[in-house]
Amino acid sequence: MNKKGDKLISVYWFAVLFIVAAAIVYMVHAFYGKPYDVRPIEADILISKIARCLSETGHIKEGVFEENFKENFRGICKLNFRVEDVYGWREQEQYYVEIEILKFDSTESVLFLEDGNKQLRDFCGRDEKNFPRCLERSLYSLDKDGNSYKINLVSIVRKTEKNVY
Amino acid sequence: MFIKKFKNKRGQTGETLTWIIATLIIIVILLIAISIANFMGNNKKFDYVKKTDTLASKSLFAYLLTEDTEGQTVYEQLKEAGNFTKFNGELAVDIFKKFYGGEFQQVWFGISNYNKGLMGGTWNGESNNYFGNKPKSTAVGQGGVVAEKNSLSIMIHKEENSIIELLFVWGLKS
Repeated sequence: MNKKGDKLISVYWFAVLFIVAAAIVYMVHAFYGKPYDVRPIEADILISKIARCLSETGHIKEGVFEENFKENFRGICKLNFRVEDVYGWREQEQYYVEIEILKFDSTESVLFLEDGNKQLRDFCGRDEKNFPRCLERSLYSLDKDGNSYKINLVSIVRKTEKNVY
Repeated sequence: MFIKKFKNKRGQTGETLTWIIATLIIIVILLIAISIANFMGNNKKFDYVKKTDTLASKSLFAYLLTEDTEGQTVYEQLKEAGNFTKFNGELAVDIFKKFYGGEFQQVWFGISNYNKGLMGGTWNGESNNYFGNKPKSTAVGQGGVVAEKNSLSIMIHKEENSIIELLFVWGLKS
């Protein structure tokens, strides 16, 4: 091949090298640039924390049925719903929790408590990527007199911007 | 001279065509790889194995402390009878199957006995009328909470070499 052809091949090789390198950079960005959706874990941690606040060694903690518990729920359970000041998160709360304590045999409700952004409750049961993550779980517990209760817990985490996009 | 020049040009055309096809193949391979990376990036999940379950542990404690009409706790009943009675069996189904059956592929609750073997010991579950046979290849270790991949076991000491076990299995077939 003549010298002109050799030069052309060299340019071609550089072009191919550049294309491959650019594609690798794009692929790495496409994979690692997307966030992991950790909201199901966050919702699970939140529910576990509430369960620990309500029940201890099989018994519902003292004070749970008192009016003060409803009023100071976050303080008593040491919950903090504060979030970063991004995407307007401070304007609408990113969490919602719900506690319902029912008598085990009659399903009569003895305590209902909800806290956080109530609008998020509508998203439960709709398992779509862009929607807030909702977790509903139950536990069994006793009071100090040995009566049985079913405790239904709901925790919802929004934070869509940082976990999906 | 003319024939030599003509042959040379034909050679160059063939070589150029080879490079063009090679470039196209490289681009196609890269596009496929980019599509795969995009798809995987959009569908990646944070995979984690649960090593404990707070709610199930608390339910288990409360269940074992539940008293029957004679004031005997379920734990005492299980120790005494060695297996479920109608009262504690039905209660166990109402709690563990109804509360956690939808979350896990299998829920098993019952008595397990320690069997020493050549390759270490295993906890063999006793079959019962309420939860059936213990799911296979999941029981390893002794004492406390033991977790394996895709299974979670909460164990309560009953007597020497015998435990009360609550087992959740997901992603495994029995």
